[in-house]
Amino acid sequence: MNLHLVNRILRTPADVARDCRDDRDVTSIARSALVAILLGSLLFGAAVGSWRGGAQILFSGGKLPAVTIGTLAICVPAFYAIAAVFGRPWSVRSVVSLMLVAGARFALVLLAATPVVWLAIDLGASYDLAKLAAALAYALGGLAALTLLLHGVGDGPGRRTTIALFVVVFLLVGAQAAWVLRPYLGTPGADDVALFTREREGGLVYQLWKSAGDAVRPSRAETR
Amino acid sequence: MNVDTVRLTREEDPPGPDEAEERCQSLAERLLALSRSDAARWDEEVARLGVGLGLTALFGAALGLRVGGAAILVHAAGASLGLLAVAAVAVPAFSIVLALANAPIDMPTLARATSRAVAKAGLALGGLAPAAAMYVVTVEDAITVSIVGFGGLALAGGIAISSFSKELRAAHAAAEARTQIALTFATPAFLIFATTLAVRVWWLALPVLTGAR
Repeated sequence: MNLHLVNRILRTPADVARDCRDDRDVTSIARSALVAILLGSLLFGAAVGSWRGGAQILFSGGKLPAVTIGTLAICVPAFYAIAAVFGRPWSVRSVVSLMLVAGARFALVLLAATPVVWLAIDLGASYDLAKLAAALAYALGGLAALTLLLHGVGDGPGRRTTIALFVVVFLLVGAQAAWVLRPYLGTPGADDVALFTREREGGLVYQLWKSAGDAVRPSRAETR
Repeated sequence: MNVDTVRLTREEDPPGPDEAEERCQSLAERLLALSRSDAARWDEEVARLGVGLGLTALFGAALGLRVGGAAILVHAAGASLGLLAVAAVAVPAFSIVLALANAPIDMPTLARATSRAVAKAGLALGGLAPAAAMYVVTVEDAITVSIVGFGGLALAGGIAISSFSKELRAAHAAAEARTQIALTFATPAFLIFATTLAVRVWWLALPVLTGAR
């Protein structure tokens, strides 16, 4: 991993984004970004899995890089198409490198949050608190990645629409990918450690729909 | 000597400006670009329309993955059919209305606006196809499939409408005052008709979206 490049990703995202857009040295950028994504998400996943301990550390450490890389891979065609339709017909190489660099920034924030999450869990954080801490780290990572994407998209007409559509697609894909590969912390009250949950709970959108319905009509939730 | 030969060859065959530009253009840029000449070329527009419909079929195929087998082909065809219906039925009807209103929009201009709108919609749907495939394969409930499917198609429809309107705006501005008044009503009416037609075709041709499974 090129530490100089990692430093640039964190400090001068606009410069790195410009290099990606202009197709300058993208192979080296992509390679370093990929390593950063794998390392950051693996360690963060392992820290999250330490709430249950044992095999869950390995499972979560393996699943989080899969979710991150999988989400980026699924979102690349969408980003390419959305950018092109709204006046930014970049090459596939530029789009892939831009996505990887954004993913690297996200993973580096997760890497920074890893010791905090691990310490909180080690000090006896509850399931909900650990979940909240992980969600907060994810949100911070997402904001850091978004900043880079904003630089990457650049000025010009259709900027807001491009970013808004891309954020929606990325959130939906990322959330569903994470949902499919759950659990990460482990299931509260369950003694066994599972790689994947066997419960049939629909999808993330369905769960949000159901929760919203329950919030509007609490009586419906009570009868279930 | 070898070096000289190579240098000579490079000096003899410098890439022309058109060639260099061609190499720099991305796939999407080539798909969405206007014709080199100001006038639309039928072969280019037909090719663009075909690519747009093909990309749309990818989104349909992704939806069909929920059922598998022949449903993949059925949904691939169904997704393209919505846009094809607009291009083949609604646009010719609109061209007659334009002619009646004496609008300064000829058939090639209309064909170009249509093919570019379909290409843009197709590109968006093709890009969203992997995400749609992941959703329809991994979720258990039918409502999510309907939301994802119709959400993608609505987005693509919006993109197509916006592109089509923008293409014709310049021609509208060049029309006489009386024609402009007629177009103020005719264009939105066409867009409503085209949207309704596409939604109806998708409703019939994409059974996975209507909650059958």
